[in-house]
Amino acid sequence: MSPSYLRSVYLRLTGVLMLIVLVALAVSAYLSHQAFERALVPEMAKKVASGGATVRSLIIKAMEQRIDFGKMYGVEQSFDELKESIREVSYVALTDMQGNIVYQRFTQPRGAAEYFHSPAILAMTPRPHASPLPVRVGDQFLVSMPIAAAEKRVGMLHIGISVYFVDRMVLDMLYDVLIVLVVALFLTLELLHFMVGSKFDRAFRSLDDAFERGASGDFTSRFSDRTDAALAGAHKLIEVLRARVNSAYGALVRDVETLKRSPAHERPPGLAAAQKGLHALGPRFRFGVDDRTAQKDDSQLAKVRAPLFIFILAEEFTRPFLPAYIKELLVPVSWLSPEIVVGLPIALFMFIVAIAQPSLGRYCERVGKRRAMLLGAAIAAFGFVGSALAGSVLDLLLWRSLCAVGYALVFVAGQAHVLEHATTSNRARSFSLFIGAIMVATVCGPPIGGILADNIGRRLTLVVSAVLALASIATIWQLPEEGLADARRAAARMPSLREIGGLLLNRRFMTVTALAKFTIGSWPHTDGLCRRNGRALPDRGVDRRDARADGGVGRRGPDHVGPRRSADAVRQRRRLGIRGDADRGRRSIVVHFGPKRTGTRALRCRGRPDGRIVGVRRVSVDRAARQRDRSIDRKRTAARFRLPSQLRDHWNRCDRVRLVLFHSHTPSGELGARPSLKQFSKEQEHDQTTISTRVS
Amino acid sequence: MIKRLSRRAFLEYGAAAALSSWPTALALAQEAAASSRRVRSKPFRIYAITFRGKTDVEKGFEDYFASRKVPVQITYRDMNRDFSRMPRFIQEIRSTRPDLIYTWGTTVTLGVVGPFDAADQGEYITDIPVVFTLVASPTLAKIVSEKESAVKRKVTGVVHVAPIDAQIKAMAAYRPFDRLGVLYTPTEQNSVVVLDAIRKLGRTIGFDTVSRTFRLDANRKVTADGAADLVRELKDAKAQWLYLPPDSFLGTLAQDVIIPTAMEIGLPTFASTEQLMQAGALSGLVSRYYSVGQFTAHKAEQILVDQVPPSAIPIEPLKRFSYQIRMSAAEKLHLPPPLPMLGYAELISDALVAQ
Repeated sequence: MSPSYLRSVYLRLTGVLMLIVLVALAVSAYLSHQAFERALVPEMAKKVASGGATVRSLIIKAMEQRIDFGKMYGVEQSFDELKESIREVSYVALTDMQGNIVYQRFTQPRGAAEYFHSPAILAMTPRPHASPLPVRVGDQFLVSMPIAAAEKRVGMLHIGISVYFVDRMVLDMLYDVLIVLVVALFLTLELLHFMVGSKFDRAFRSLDDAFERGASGDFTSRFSDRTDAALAGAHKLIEVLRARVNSAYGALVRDVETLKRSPAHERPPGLAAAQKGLHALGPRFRFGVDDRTAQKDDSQLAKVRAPLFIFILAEEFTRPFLPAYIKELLVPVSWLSPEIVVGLPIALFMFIVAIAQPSLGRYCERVGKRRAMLLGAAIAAFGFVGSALAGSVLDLLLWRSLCAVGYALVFVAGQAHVLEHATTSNRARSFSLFIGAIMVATVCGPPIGGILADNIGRRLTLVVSAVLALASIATIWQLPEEGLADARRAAARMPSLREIGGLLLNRRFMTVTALAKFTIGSWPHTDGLCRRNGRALPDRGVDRRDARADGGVGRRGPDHVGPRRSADAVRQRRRLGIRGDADRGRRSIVVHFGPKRTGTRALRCRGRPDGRIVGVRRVSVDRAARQRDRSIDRKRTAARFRLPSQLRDHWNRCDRVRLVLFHSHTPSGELGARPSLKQFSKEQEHDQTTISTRVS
Repeated sequence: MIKRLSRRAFLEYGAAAALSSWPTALALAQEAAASSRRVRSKPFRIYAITFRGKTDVEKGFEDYFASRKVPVQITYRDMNRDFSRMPRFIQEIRSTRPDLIYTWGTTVTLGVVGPFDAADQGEYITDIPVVFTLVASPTLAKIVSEKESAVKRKVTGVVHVAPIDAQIKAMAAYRPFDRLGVLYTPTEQNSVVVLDAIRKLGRTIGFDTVSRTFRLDANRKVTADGAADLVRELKDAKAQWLYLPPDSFLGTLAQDVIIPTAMEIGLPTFASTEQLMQAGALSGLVSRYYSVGQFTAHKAEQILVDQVPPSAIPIEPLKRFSYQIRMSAAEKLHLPPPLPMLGYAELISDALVAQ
């Protein structure tokens, strides 16, 4: 049940849908070709006839000016102009009364000469206003028009249309159909994801989790496990197994306890061994009932996708027709040119979204993401209704501003929701979910909006957008109510001018921002951080180097050394024989020192639940060792450090910690004894060992 | 309390009413001022000097004022191609002091306002606005200076010749050519410059230009002698078109000598002005005299009614020109116009020439 399995299911699903799309395309191409040929050829004949009428009137005018039919000048030029205005024209000819070609241009279809001489055509000549009927000659449809001035009949004008024009039209239309189908494909996938995908995903994930826990020796039972219909059987089996193991363990513990309490002479001889064995089980396996508070509810993450998608879709609907709509509502503003006024609502929208995000981030921290999203969607829905009823561009400005505020609010709150429910290891994936919803909406929205606007009008499309925004409110309602404010997150605050200045002066940031403009415009980026319009997410203080290291090495063994100064650190670590283990159960870190531990004086703990530095402490090893249990064996010394209280509060969320050990040494190169902490801080760049260890 | 409120409400309404009526009041005041200018008890007095009697230009000029309901009183004086009459006109202008002077053609205009760099401005009119018409190139004629920094003269007007590249393209649209013949007066600066422009254009577009100049007599005065031979020489030099520049002297010979000769030897002629077109040329891209007159009147109206200084009104040609084709000439030369051209050209029959 690995994610790759899920991905393969998705890929297969996409493949099947693509196949359906392609088959649909092929069938539509065939059918529309048939229908087009039937319906379009007479239409095309009419179009060509109207173009031909212009040429005919010129010829008649020339006749009136007593220009000889055979001595007209620039006739081919007129034919060229005809082709320029109607590009389907593939042959033009002018014949005299006997059907002889006097002037011709472009490709003559096979059998044209015979056709011009045919009695039917010659008989048609004298009638001045015979309606042109297309006749297939060779690979062209020929439209023949008699030329007759009031008292003078001169000949016929024949215009040919290649039969392949239908192919070209069908091909042109196929591109449109393809776009519609691709949009439909995306929408279908999104709907599937919404209806089935997340449910399956959750079921597989929880099964996967159950297996992993079993494999790592964790037999604690979880009553809160959901039984999903799809995999309920498997879950039940595992739960029954767990219950058996737990009850057996419970019985064993009880037995041992009972026997321990019994008088010494009644104790069976193997009790000591059994007790020892029971103790040995402790570190390896876990039994009982798990409170599960530490577990992240991954399913909450996926729930935000549907409302976001629907909401962004509502906004994207307006993209294709908004400029035209603004033009429709244009009123003259004396001090602004009309072009600027047309751009104003769009620019204002972008400006508000960009400007409002930081302050709205703070707001949604205060009132909660769910409430902020609800409010944002409501404001936007109101804005859409207002936009639909707008009387002029001036009040449209107001309505679009409301939409912008709503958009920014939902966007920021959605982001915050993802951040809150993502763990360090799956943050990038979580953001891909967030970005995915936006991307799909951005791809699907404009075409659907355009089609809607074409068919039901711009104002009604805006009403549809409002309805969608209301629908997103219904889905946001499904999101969980938030609990108490999350203490691990420092309250968000507005960035100070100094911070903004620092960001502007940061060359790397500015380079990335500038390049972002050239790559995919203002698309949100996901790189562990998420940026939109160049703004970092509100979780300031993330050590990006650490985030990257963790993201990449999360599954390596313990004692992984961080990338910085790694060669030195490894050497130092080996020399000192230092090893670190973090113990989740006892909320402590055990640092194993080699024989040369003397001089290792200080320990700085830097725990990073979710990439956030929560505690920096300096502890003298000697002092710590005095206070805590230390000696594990004679050759190697270990010190168990209880975590700094600040770090301990978040221990359950912490999956890796990084320890920075500072050592001192004498000028001779030996590790010295008891230097002061002050000295450490001076020398810390030279004498530190970094241990990155996974919390077990 | 009620009283206070109502008083405040009253004040607010008053302010609102004043504010809302402000633009209307302003517009009304402006309109009143405009109409007071327009409905004058005394009509504007315009002193018009023509070169060869009244033409369609004057008709357009008068009709414009009539349609705009601007009362004008136009005093016509005809120079009748005799420059010696000019001092009398100047004298009359000085004594009657009209509101505006209308001048027809380069010669008349120069006679009234003089070249801008003339040593003695005393013999010209400098204090009364002048609107000229039918001047091919006011800068070349030194009516106004090309330089932005030049002294602002009280002169504006209408140019009647289409831009030279448009004319050449129009000619090529009728029949493409490799060699163009031009006949001109060497003493007319205007024609010399046009010829230069044509040669330059020829180098970029890719055609040769052959030119002949009218002969000069012993007094270095241009003479009509051998004009017909010059046309033949151009034909012998394999010119495919004869271009007729806006040349005053050529204009006097066109109808009787030059165009008949060209027709005789089968050389198509292209006219730059309606006057030359009327003289019998095959085709031409010209400004209609009537439209030129209307446009001139529009400029005069700006000076008289709207009080715009003449130097602030641009000197420009019409935006649209008519492509005229003389069908009788086309038939005689066996050069029927291209079929697409029949859709937009103005086909002239000889009946029109007679008038």
